[in-house]
Amino acid sequence: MKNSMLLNQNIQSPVNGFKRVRPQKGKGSRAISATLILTSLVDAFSILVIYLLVNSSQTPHNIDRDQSIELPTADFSEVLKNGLGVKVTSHGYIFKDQTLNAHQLRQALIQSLKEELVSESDAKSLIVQADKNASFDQVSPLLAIASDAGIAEIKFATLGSQ
Amino acid sequence: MTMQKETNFEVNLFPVISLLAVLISFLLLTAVWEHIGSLSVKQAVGQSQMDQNQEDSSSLWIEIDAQGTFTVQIKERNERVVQSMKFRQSQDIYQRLTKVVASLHSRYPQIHMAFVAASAKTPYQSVIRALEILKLSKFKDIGVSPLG
Repeated sequence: MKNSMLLNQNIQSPVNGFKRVRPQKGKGSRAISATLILTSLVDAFSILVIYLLVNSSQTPHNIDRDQSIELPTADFSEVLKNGLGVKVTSHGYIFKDQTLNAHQLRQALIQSLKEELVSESDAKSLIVQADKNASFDQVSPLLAIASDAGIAEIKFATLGSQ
Repeated sequence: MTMQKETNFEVNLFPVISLLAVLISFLLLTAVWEHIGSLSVKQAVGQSQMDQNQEDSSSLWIEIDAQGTFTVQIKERNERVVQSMKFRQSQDIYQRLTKVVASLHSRYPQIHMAFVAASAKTPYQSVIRALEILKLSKFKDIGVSPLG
Protein backbone atom coordinates (compact mmCIF):
# COMPACT_ATOMS: atom_id res chain seq x y z
CA MET A 1 0.00 0.00 0.00
CA LYS A 2 2.88 2.33 0.79
CA ASN A 3 4.09 2.10 -2.77
CA SER A 4 0.69 2.81 -4.24
CA MET A 5 0.81 4.97 -7.34
CA LEU A 6 -2.06 7.07 -6.11
CA LEU A 7 -0.28 8.01 -2.88
CA ASN A 8 2.70 9.33 -4.73
CA GLN A 9 0.66 11.45 -7.03
CA ASN A 10 -0.11 14.90 -5.84
CA ILE A 11 -3.24 15.61 -7.80
CA GLN A 12 -4.60 19.04 -7.17
CA SER A 13 -8.00 20.18 -8.20
CA PRO A 14 -7.54 23.19 -10.51
CA VAL A 15 -10.24 25.08 -8.62
CA ASN A 16 -8.42 24.65 -5.28
CA GLY A 17 -5.48 26.56 -6.65
CA PHE A 18 -7.35 29.83 -6.84
CA LYS A 19 -6.95 32.01 -3.80
CA ARG A 20 -10.30 33.70 -4.21
CA VAL A 21 -12.08 30.40 -3.99
CA ARG A 22 -9.96 29.00 -1.17
CA PRO A 23 -8.45 31.86 0.90
CA GLN A 24 -5.42 30.85 3.00
CA LYS A 25 -5.58 33.05 6.13
CA GLY A 26 -7.34 36.03 7.61
CA LYS A 27 -10.88 36.94 8.24
CA GLY A 28 -12.70 35.51 5.35
CA SER A 29 -10.90 32.20 5.42
CA ARG A 30 -14.07 30.19 4.97
CA ALA A 31 -13.72 28.07 1.87
CA ILE A 32 -16.17 28.93 -0.84
CA SER A 33 -17.55 25.89 -2.56
CA ALA A 34 -17.41 26.82 -6.25
CA THR A 35 -16.40 23.70 -8.08
CA LEU A 36 -17.24 23.63 -11.75
CA ILE A 37 -19.55 20.76 -12.61
CA LEU A 38 -17.75 19.41 -15.62
CA THR A 39 -19.55 16.06 -15.89
CA SER A 40 -22.63 17.64 -17.46
CA LEU A 41 -20.41 19.54 -19.88
CA VAL A 42 -18.72 16.30 -20.92
CA ASP A 43 -22.16 14.71 -21.36
CA ALA A 44 -23.32 17.57 -23.60
CA PHE A 45 -20.14 17.42 -25.66
CA SER A 46 -20.43 13.65 -26.04
CA ILE A 47 -24.01 13.94 -27.28
CA LEU A 48 -22.91 16.62 -29.75
CA VAL A 49 -20.07 14.45 -31.04
CA ILE A 50 -22.38 11.43 -31.50
CA TYR A 51 -24.97 13.59 -33.30
CA LEU A 52 -22.35 15.01 -35.65
CA LEU A 53 -20.86 11.59 -36.35
CA VAL A 54 -24.25 10.10 -37.21
CA ASN A 55 -25.48 13.00 -39.36
CA SER A 56 -22.33 13.99 -41.16
CA SER A 57 -22.18 11.08 -43.61
CA GLN A 58 -25.53 10.57 -45.30
CA THR A 59 -24.36 10.31 -48.86
CA PRO A 60 -23.57 6.80 -50.12
CA HIS A 61 -19.89 6.15 -50.67
CA ASN A 62 -20.08 5.60 -54.42
CA ILE A 63 -21.91 8.88 -55.04
CA ASP A 64 -19.38 11.63 -55.42
CA ARG A 65 -21.09 14.96 -55.48
CA ASP A 66 -20.02 17.24 -58.30
CA GLN A 67 -20.07 20.84 -57.08
CA SER A 68 -20.44 22.17 -60.63
CA ILE A 69 -23.81 20.44 -60.90
CA GLU A 70 -26.59 22.26 -59.09
CA LEU A 71 -29.07 19.53 -58.23
CA PRO A 72 -32.82 20.25 -58.45
CA THR A 73 -34.59 20.81 -55.16
CA ALA A 74 -37.37 18.61 -53.83
CA ASP A 75 -39.01 18.76 -50.42
CA PHE A 76 -40.30 15.22 -50.64
CA SER A 77 -37.59 12.73 -51.55
CA GLU A 78 -36.48 9.26 -50.60
CA VAL A 79 -33.22 8.26 -48.97
CA LEU A 80 -30.54 7.82 -51.59
CA LYS A 81 -29.28 4.25 -51.59
CA ASN A 82 -26.44 2.73 -53.53
CA GLY A 83 -26.54 2.44 -57.27
CA LEU A 84 -24.59 3.27 -60.40
CA GLY A 85 -24.02 6.99 -60.52
CA VAL A 86 -24.11 8.95 -63.79
CA LYS A 87 -23.59 12.69 -64.08
CA VAL A 88 -25.15 14.61 -66.94
CA THR A 89 -23.06 17.48 -68.29
CA SER A 90 -23.12 19.56 -71.46
CA HIS A 91 -20.15 17.51 -72.75
CA GLY A 92 -21.75 14.12 -72.24
CA TYR A 93 -22.20 11.65 -69.43
CA ILE A 94 -19.66 11.11 -66.66
CA PHE A 95 -19.53 7.53 -65.42
CA LYS A 96 -16.71 6.38 -63.14
CA ASP A 97 -14.70 9.56 -63.84
CA GLN A 98 -14.88 9.06 -67.62
CA THR A 99 -16.72 11.31 -70.02
CA LEU A 100 -18.73 9.12 -72.39
CA ASN A 101 -21.25 9.51 -75.16
CA ALA A 102 -24.59 7.68 -75.17
CA HIS A 103 -23.28 4.55 -76.93
CA GLN A 104 -20.18 4.29 -74.73
CA LEU A 105 -22.30 4.76 -71.62
CA ARG A 106 -24.60 1.90 -72.64
CA GLN A 107 -21.61 -0.41 -73.04
CA ALA A 108 -20.04 0.78 -69.79
CA LEU A 109 -23.23 0.18 -67.82
CA ILE A 110 -23.66 -3.33 -69.23
CA GLN A 111 -20.02 -4.10 -68.46
CA SER A 112 -20.30 -2.66 -64.98
CA LEU A 113 -23.38 -4.72 -64.17
CA LYS A 114 -21.58 -7.88 -65.32
CA GLU A 115 -18.37 -7.15 -63.41
CA GLU A 116 -19.92 -6.17 -60.13
CA LEU A 117 -22.13 -9.29 -60.09
CA VAL A 118 -25.02 -7.29 -58.77
CA SER A 119 -27.09 -9.37 -56.40
CA GLU A 120 -29.00 -6.75 -54.44
CA SER A 121 -31.92 -5.15 -56.18
CA ASP A 122 -30.95 -1.77 -54.70
CA ALA A 123 -27.66 -1.82 -56.52
CA LYS A 124 -29.35 -2.39 -59.87
CA SER A 125 -30.45 1.16 -60.16
CA LEU A 126 -29.12 4.22 -61.90
CA ILE A 127 -28.57 7.43 -59.95
CA VAL A 128 -28.79 10.47 -62.21
CA GLN A 129 -27.10 13.70 -61.23
CA ALA A 130 -28.12 16.50 -63.54
CA ASP A 131 -28.15 20.27 -63.23
CA LYS A 132 -31.54 21.77 -62.45
CA ASN A 133 -31.19 24.19 -65.37
CA ALA A 134 -30.42 21.41 -67.86
CA SER A 135 -33.03 20.72 -70.50
CA PHE A 136 -34.89 17.43 -70.49
CA ASP A 137 -33.35 16.30 -73.80
CA GLN A 138 -30.00 15.99 -71.98
CA VAL A 139 -31.53 13.59 -69.44
CA SER A 140 -34.10 11.66 -71.50
CA PRO A 141 -31.58 9.51 -73.47
CA LEU A 142 -30.57 7.99 -70.13
CA LEU A 143 -34.01 6.38 -69.82
CA ALA A 144 -33.49 4.38 -73.01
CA ILE A 145 -29.84 3.63 -72.18
CA ALA A 146 -30.76 2.29 -68.74
CA SER A 147 -33.57 0.20 -70.19
CA ASP A 148 -31.22 -1.34 -72.77
CA ALA A 149 -28.62 -2.04 -70.09
CA GLY A 150 -31.22 -3.87 -67.97
CA ILE A 151 -31.68 -1.23 -65.29
CA ALA A 152 -35.31 -0.89 -64.27
CA GLU A 153 -35.04 1.75 -61.59
CA ILE A 154 -33.82 5.28 -62.19
CA LYS A 155 -33.22 7.57 -59.26
CA PHE A 156 -33.00 11.30 -59.88
CA ALA A 157 -30.74 12.86 -57.25
CA THR A 158 -32.29 15.88 -55.57
CA LEU A 159 -31.31 18.34 -52.92
CA GLY A 160 -33.52 18.76 -49.87
CA SER A 161 -34.64 22.36 -49.60
CA GLN A 162 -34.82 22.22 -45.79
CA MET B 1 3.78 8.81 13.75
CA THR B 2 1.11 8.76 11.17
CA MET B 3 1.81 10.27 7.81
CA GLN B 4 -1.42 11.51 6.27
CA LYS B 5 -1.00 12.53 2.69
CA GLU B 6 -4.02 14.08 1.05
CA THR B 7 -5.01 12.23 -2.06
CA ASN B 8 -7.46 13.53 -4.59
CA PHE B 9 -9.47 10.98 -6.51
CA GLU B 10 -11.17 13.47 -8.82
CA VAL B 11 -10.90 12.51 -12.44
CA ASN B 12 -9.31 15.33 -14.34
CA LEU B 13 -11.92 16.16 -16.96
CA PHE B 14 -10.14 19.03 -18.65
CA PRO B 15 -8.23 16.84 -21.15
CA VAL B 16 -11.50 15.04 -21.99
CA ILE B 17 -13.24 18.35 -22.64
CA SER B 18 -10.32 19.57 -24.73
CA LEU B 19 -10.39 16.40 -26.80
CA LEU B 20 -14.15 16.62 -27.32
CA ALA B 21 -13.90 20.29 -28.25
CA VAL B 22 -11.29 19.50 -30.90
CA LEU B 23 -13.45 16.62 -32.18
CA ILE B 24 -16.55 18.84 -32.39
CA SER B 25 -14.63 21.55 -34.24
CA PHE B 26 -13.29 18.99 -36.71
CA LEU B 27 -16.72 17.44 -37.30
CA LEU B 28 -18.37 20.84 -37.72
CA LEU B 29 -15.79 21.84 -40.31
CA THR B 30 -15.94 18.62 -42.29
CA ALA B 31 -19.68 17.87 -42.02
CA VAL B 32 -21.77 17.87 -45.19
CA TRP B 33 -25.01 19.55 -44.28
CA GLU B 34 -26.88 19.29 -47.56
CA HIS B 35 -29.30 16.40 -47.71
CA ILE B 36 -29.16 14.51 -51.00
CA GLY B 37 -32.28 12.50 -51.67
CA SER B 38 -33.76 10.89 -54.74
CA LEU B 39 -36.98 10.50 -56.67
CA SER B 40 -37.17 7.08 -58.27
CA VAL B 41 -39.07 5.95 -61.34
CA LYS B 42 -39.48 2.45 -62.69
CA GLN B 43 -39.49 1.51 -66.32
CA ALA B 44 -39.76 -1.52 -68.56
CA VAL B 45 -36.44 -3.28 -69.16
CA GLY B 46 -35.34 -4.31 -72.65
CA GLN B 47 -38.17 -5.57 -74.81
CA SER B 48 -40.48 -6.56 -71.96
CA GLN B 49 -44.03 -5.35 -72.06
CA MET B 50 -45.95 -3.66 -69.29
CA ASP B 51 -48.20 -5.76 -67.13
CA GLN B 52 -51.27 -6.53 -69.22
CA ASN B 53 -53.35 -7.79 -66.33
CA GLN B 54 -53.99 -4.46 -64.71
CA GLU B 55 -57.50 -4.09 -63.34
CA ASP B 56 -57.79 -0.65 -64.79
CA SER B 57 -55.04 0.53 -67.06
CA SER B 58 -56.10 4.16 -67.03
CA SER B 59 -53.30 6.47 -66.14
CA LEU B 60 -52.64 10.04 -65.09
CA TRP B 61 -50.31 12.10 -67.25
CA ILE B 62 -48.58 15.37 -66.48
CA GLU B 63 -47.35 16.88 -69.72
CA ILE B 64 -44.92 19.80 -69.63
CA ASP B 65 -44.19 21.83 -72.74
CA ALA B 66 -41.22 24.10 -73.43
CA GLN B 67 -43.12 27.19 -72.21
CA GLY B 68 -43.63 25.56 -68.82
CA THR B 69 -47.34 24.87 -69.27
CA PHE B 70 -48.52 21.82 -67.36
CA THR B 71 -51.36 19.68 -68.69
CA VAL B 72 -52.88 17.11 -66.35
CA GLN B 73 -54.77 14.35 -68.14
CA ILE B 74 -56.54 11.14 -67.28
CA LYS B 75 -56.06 8.73 -70.16
CA GLU B 76 -57.68 5.39 -70.82
CA ARG B 77 -55.80 2.42 -72.21
CA ASN B 78 -56.66 3.33 -75.79
CA GLU B 79 -55.13 6.80 -75.26
CA ARG B 80 -58.60 8.36 -75.05
CA VAL B 81 -58.44 11.43 -72.81
CA VAL B 82 -61.12 11.34 -70.12
CA GLN B 83 -60.23 14.60 -68.41
CA SER B 84 -57.75 17.34 -69.17
CA MET B 85 -56.66 20.48 -67.34
CA LYS B 86 -54.10 23.11 -68.32
CA PHE B 87 -51.96 25.18 -65.95
CA ARG B 88 -49.93 28.08 -67.21
CA GLN B 89 -46.79 29.25 -65.42
CA SER B 90 -47.56 31.20 -62.28
CA GLN B 91 -46.12 31.59 -58.81
CA ASP B 92 -48.44 29.09 -57.17
CA ILE B 93 -48.52 26.59 -60.03
CA TYR B 94 -47.03 23.74 -57.96
CA GLN B 95 -49.46 24.22 -55.08
CA ARG B 96 -52.40 24.22 -57.51
CA LEU B 97 -51.04 21.16 -59.32
CA THR B 98 -50.56 19.28 -56.04
CA LYS B 99 -54.18 19.96 -55.07
CA VAL B 100 -55.54 18.94 -58.47
CA VAL B 101 -53.51 15.73 -58.72
CA ALA B 102 -54.48 14.76 -55.15
CA SER B 103 -58.16 15.36 -55.87
CA LEU B 104 -57.95 13.37 -59.12
CA HIS B 105 -56.29 10.48 -57.29
CA SER B 106 -59.04 10.44 -54.67
CA ARG B 107 -61.67 10.61 -57.42
CA TYR B 108 -60.07 7.79 -59.43
CA PRO B 109 -58.54 5.57 -56.71
CA GLN B 110 -58.19 2.66 -59.17
CA ILE B 111 -55.49 4.55 -61.09
CA HIS B 112 -52.02 3.53 -59.91
CA MET B 113 -49.97 4.56 -62.93
CA ALA B 114 -48.79 8.10 -63.51
CA PHE B 115 -46.42 9.54 -66.07
CA VAL B 116 -44.51 12.72 -66.61
CA ALA B 117 -44.07 13.60 -70.28
CA ALA B 118 -41.75 16.49 -70.97
CA SER B 119 -40.70 18.23 -74.17
CA ALA B 120 -37.02 18.46 -75.13
CA LYS B 121 -36.59 22.03 -73.88
CA THR B 122 -38.40 21.57 -70.57
CA PRO B 123 -36.16 22.47 -67.62
CA TYR B 124 -35.10 19.44 -65.59
CA GLN B 125 -36.30 21.16 -62.39
CA SER B 126 -39.89 21.18 -63.72
CA VAL B 127 -39.74 17.43 -64.39
CA ILE B 128 -38.50 16.82 -60.84
CA ARG B 129 -41.31 19.02 -59.45
CA ALA B 130 -43.89 17.02 -61.41
CA LEU B 131 -42.41 13.75 -60.11
CA GLU B 132 -42.51 15.11 -56.58
CA ILE B 133 -46.20 15.99 -56.94
CA LEU B 134 -46.97 12.44 -58.11
CA LYS B 135 -44.96 10.95 -55.21
CA LEU B 136 -46.82 13.18 -52.76
CA SER B 137 -50.13 11.91 -54.15
CA LYS B 138 -48.89 8.35 -53.49
CA PHE B 139 -49.01 6.92 -57.02
CA LYS B 140 -47.42 3.48 -57.06
CA ASP B 141 -46.03 3.28 -60.58
CA ILE B 142 -44.45 6.46 -61.84
CA GLY B 143 -42.71 6.80 -65.19
CA VAL B 144 -41.04 9.48 -67.27
CA SER B 145 -41.19 9.80 -71.03
CA PRO B 146 -40.33 12.34 -73.72
CA LEU B 147 -43.27 14.33 -75.05
CA GLY B 148 -44.30 13.89 -78.64
